[in-house]
Amino acid sequence: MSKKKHQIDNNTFAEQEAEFQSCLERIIGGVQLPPREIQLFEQDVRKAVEYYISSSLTMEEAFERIGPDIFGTFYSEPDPNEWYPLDSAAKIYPLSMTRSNMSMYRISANMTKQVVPEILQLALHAVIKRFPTFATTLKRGVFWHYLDARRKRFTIEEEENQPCSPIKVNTNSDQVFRILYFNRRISIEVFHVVADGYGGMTLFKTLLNEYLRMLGEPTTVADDILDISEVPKPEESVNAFTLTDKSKNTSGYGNASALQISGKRTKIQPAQLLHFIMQSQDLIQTAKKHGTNVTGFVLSAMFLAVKSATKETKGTFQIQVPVNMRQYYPVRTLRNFSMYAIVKIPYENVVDMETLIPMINEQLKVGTSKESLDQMAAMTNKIVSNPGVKYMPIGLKGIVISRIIKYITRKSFTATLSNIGAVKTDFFGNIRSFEAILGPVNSNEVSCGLVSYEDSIVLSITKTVMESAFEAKLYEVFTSLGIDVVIEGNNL
Amino acid sequence: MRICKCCNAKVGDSFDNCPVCGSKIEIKSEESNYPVYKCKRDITTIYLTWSVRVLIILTIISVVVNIAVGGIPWSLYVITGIYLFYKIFLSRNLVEANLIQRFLSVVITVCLLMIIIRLISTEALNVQIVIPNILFGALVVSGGFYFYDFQSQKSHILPIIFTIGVAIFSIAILFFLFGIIRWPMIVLGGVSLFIIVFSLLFYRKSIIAEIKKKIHT
Repeated sequence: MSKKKHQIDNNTFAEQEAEFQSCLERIIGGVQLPPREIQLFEQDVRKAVEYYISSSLTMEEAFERIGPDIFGTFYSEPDPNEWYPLDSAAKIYPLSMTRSNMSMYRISANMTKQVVPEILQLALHAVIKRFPTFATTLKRGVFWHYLDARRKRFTIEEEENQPCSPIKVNTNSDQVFRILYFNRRISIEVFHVVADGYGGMTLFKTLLNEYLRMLGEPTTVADDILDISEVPKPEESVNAFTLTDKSKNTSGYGNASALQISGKRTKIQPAQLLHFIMQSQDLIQTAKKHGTNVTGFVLSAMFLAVKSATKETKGTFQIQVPVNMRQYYPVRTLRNFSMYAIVKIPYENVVDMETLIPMINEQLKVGTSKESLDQMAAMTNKIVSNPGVKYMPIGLKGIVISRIIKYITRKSFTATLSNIGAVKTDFFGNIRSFEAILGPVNSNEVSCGLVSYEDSIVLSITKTVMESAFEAKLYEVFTSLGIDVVIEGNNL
Repeated sequence: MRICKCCNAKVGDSFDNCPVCGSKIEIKSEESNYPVYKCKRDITTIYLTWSVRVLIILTIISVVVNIAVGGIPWSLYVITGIYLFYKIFLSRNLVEANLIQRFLSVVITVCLLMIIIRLISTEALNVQIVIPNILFGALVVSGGFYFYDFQSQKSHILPIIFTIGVAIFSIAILFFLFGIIRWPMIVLGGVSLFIIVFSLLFYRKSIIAEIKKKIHT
């Protein structure tokens, strides 16, 4: 909590110290951690109460707002049997990560008011106990990595590094996700080892809901916001890949190299982050006019943009489109359960939207079908259950498997487009927009995340090179079709 | 929000230059949407990269000089020293870089390097005495630390099991293959057995749970 934004009358608080201590004891009594940790929890509560008092609440009202069960009995020594093997898709992430490149993604919410870090910190304490797979730390076994229960204070941080920068996971106390705040923006950055966009978004929305409740704003009840007073459900932590239909055919990750946008990778990654903020209805109507959906339309614009951003003239553009498999299976896992479709268009066929859209529609239909995704899931299961891979010591896996995967996936896509879809939860005017940002990867130079909320839709572009031809063309395509675009992003 | 005078793009408050055409945008809002990044590049990565480069150059120089001047293979000791320096100060696991693991991996590396030096060099080095002594000390220190701070350290059981395995294996090799038995070997075997028995008596449940996690497939 760096900036002190609220003027607190310390004398008033000193007079109420006894009342504070007695209220504090009631909510912190269940915490059974070392004294140093308890002291930190106490400081968090104190800062929040100071904020409430500076906002004209009484001590009693402040504690009522915080709630009696914020810590519960969660913060005590975890059961030694509480741990989670990585799901089938996550197994590769810790093997292929490097100090400077990890599979991270970020979801941000732009609030209408300045973020209050003191309250956000308490909201995280309240929410994390409902998400046991996030309340973990990454550990290394003989054959595979795993997530081990972690019962320490989970912290928020003020944003000061590049978006999706690697997360430190090498000690007992390291988190596998980050909650960041900056001015009016709250973000969650998740290491893909723990969850996909669905899991991250569920935690994030639940956190935002609790944060707004603690600020005295109206809250919402929705399917995708978990009730934090509930006990975590076992189905939320299953490896859902094992539940997929056993496809006889497997289709895999082996792809020919794809054409890349030109430019030299910068040492600092990502090189640039841009948000194209548009009106949802504009984009939906324009897509409809072109006989496709939003994903198909944005893909066609991306194909035109990558063509103008590459110096190559021969080859194929390949755009990866992650697909949430929960649409085909009635599972509510908060872990990874996504596969992807690939849309491939040869260089010479990228001419204009009219010719691109039928090809994209056709490939999306096949690529996002249950059969196709099942085949890919079957391939994933087959790889991780192969005895040669399964029983290979982790040190050797790190050298052999990670190099094979890096070789196969290197430059295998031109770009990625992840459409998170519409956030339908009502936050009663407290949030202006959401953003979905994919971290830089080795497989391609440009990644895009798309998410809509109320009447705004944000296309977030993460690039590993500085050259601006890609976004300039994309901007030109959208504006030439009458779509109003406002560009935001980081200034480098 | 501002409008670029050059290309008419509507751009946010964070930019100094228009992201579409690159031209300068003059009026900048006070409240930017992104922070000015403090650390432009990961200092640790730069430090590690340059340190490793320097160590590689030192290694090559020592070997070349040793070959050029002849005599005893002293460059082996230099390489050993450089490698240990790397292992102790520069090498870090990306996952579970804990003190016990680092300490025991350095100890085992030292033992291996001593055996290699003994095999290559003609100088007398009594590895049958020295190595069991080193392993004994390492097990006492790491085992003591492990049980002293058991709640925090319990997941770091593997390096201790591995070191006990190495200790028992080397005792067995020396005894059964070469018929050698020295007092440090007996002491090392004793402390290894003590750690196993102590663990099973007092921490059986936790340690079995940790081992299950570690060996899951």
